[in-house]
Amino acid sequence: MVSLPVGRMGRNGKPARSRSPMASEDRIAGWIFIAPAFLVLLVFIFGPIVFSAYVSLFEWDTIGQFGEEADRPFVGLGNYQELFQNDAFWQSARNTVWYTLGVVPAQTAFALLLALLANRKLRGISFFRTAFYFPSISSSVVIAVIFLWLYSGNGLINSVLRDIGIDPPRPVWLANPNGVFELLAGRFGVDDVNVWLAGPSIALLSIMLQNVWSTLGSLMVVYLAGLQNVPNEVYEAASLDGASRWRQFRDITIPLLRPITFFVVTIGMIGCFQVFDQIFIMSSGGPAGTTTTLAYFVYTQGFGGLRQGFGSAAAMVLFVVILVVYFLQRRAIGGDETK
Amino acid sequence: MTLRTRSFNRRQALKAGAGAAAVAAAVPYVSYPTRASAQGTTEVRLSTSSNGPELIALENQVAMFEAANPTITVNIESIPDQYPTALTTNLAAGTAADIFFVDSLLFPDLVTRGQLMQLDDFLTASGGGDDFFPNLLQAFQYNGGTFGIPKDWSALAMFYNSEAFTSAGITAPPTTWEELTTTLQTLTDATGVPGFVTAPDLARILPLIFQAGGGVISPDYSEILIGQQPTADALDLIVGYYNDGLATTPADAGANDTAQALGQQAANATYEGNWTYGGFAQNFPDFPLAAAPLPAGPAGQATLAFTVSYSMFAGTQIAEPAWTVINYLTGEGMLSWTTEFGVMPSRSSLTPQWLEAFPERQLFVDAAQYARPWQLGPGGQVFVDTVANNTLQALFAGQIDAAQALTQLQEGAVANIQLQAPGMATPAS
Repeated sequence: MVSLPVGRMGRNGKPARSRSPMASEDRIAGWIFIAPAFLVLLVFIFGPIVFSAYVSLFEWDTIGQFGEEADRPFVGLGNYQELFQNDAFWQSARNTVWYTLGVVPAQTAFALLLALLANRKLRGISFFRTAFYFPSISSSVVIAVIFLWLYSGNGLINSVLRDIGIDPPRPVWLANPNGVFELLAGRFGVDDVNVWLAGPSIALLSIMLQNVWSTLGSLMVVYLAGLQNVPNEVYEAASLDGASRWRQFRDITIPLLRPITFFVVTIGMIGCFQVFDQIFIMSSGGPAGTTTTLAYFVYTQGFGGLRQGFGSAAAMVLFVVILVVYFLQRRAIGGDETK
Repeated sequence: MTLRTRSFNRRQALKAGAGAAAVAAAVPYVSYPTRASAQGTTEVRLSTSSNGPELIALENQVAMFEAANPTITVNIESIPDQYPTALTTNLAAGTAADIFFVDSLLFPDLVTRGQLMQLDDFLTASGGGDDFFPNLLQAFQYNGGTFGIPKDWSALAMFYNSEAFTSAGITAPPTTWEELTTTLQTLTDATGVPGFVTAPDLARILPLIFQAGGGVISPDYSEILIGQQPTADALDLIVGYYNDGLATTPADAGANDTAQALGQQAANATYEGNWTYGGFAQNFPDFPLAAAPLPAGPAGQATLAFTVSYSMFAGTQIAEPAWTVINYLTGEGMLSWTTEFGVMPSRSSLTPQWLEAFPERQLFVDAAQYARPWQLGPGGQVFVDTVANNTLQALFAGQIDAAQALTQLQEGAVANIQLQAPGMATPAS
């Protein structure tokens, strides 16, 4: 900033609380403009978060006794204590970590790759741009159902595998709870693999692949917008200096796309931590709980197990984890302040 | 799809290509308060898990009721997917329908929370409950009161492809575990597909545990039994079939459920309920379907009985008309329902007429003598959904061994099932 707006300085050099009728009208207008969005956030986001935090401190039966004062005893941090001793919670935490570690890098890298391809001036490129984007405008339910068919015991994937002489997994993809790294280790004669290192199950991996495929398009569009904002002169200058295409990509494209990458990774990461619909439709959290992510765990505890307090405690943990990872990643990649 | 095949319902519905229905099912069900309409008729809301042929049979039954009772209209709300979740959510919000289906497995959770209206006075005024099979009525009794009227019942039997049996040279269906093994071996060798199809689902594997002399909990609700040797014997048998290639699962066969896998000839025998007849009549009308009692295990014959009640919401404002509906659907209307859909009448007086319509289904009626109820006390539904089926899936995949499975089942049952549930009338399974 070179200069501060004069109007905001008081006579003695301190910033003045602007009390002029004009500024106050501006402020009111500002509030009015954001009011609809703010109210929606308040009612559907902030309100439920605060309420969920409150509920997590109680043994809160989902249904409750009919016609009586709800008997929902205060248990303090009891639900949290129980949560950290609950195997199913840790399993869902593992599933979520593997899911995020697998999906976010893959979808970010492939989205960038697709954007680079789609950004080239070729004949018919707009067709491909549309085709790449197509999954993003389809309902996630419809995509999940199509993938159910693909992964089915007599589905396309298994047929192709059998045609080229490869045995498909048994139990079939979405019914197979075996960890992929555990299976690999087994090939090398290592039988005892720590649960944290067993990797995503074949079922979870199948859903991860689906998720990468279905989110590529929208992330590609974000990268495409970023690429088209990179001024051509920079590349021209680099070419004159004799920089190779790879150097240009590494030292111009990647750094200039940093804010975009921050956005893509953040959106992708939050999406992964909250993944629910694909799980709900494709596997219901099974087989053997290996596709139960944290968000799905919250749902099964609150509505299947009828324990809203316990489920809310898990939801609050998820909330804090997302917040912490967001800030860590903001430090690592850097966001909007990186200019 | 019925309430009984719960564990893979959603995927079945979706895989069957019912995309639109599935999208609708994913949207939380919205219900509206009941009100008497201006024309002086009372509107009674009825929530059901039915869809497909079952829903059509229910609609026909309701149409007959409305013709006979012009002052009452019945508004059927079909929730084919995630019915227990939808029902409990509606109860929590106080917006449940006046009448709804309650599966025997979920009943303990609802009745202990006071959500169901006691029906004894109505039942007495309408002639009492003596005509109902006592063990079915008991499944919906609590602290000496009746909180649901069994609308029908079903039992598991062995359904098989009689042509495949004949061409493999099998003259009679197996009657013991040993014969079952021999039969499946012969079938598998002769047909080139696994002889049997089963799902890693407690609702299909529990009869084997009974046949080995075990159960989930003791009949007096005092002790968890599932971690004991009979469970190990049953799991060894069925998982052994799967590992040896004598059995497949619906998922591996690319089918939605065991019945469909049988119909598509991915296997030639399975354990299913009598509703299978209805499904085959619609989907595989030319299939050479035959049924036999489940082969007996070391501890003798056993099977699993499923029953679903009509229960009334404790908060209904229109108990009288709601009872009129229940009383018709479980009384005069029961024969049309059971003959159209193929489940068995819960009234003993109707059973002879039902058998006249379906003489080949005598074996299902006979199963009443050795069938045990699908009811595991308060927490039973959670145990099945969050522990039992997960454990079975891991065991089928070879992720855990039988000993680990027993430990998981035992610990999961201890953690979830409320023992010595006061007031439960049914001996538990």
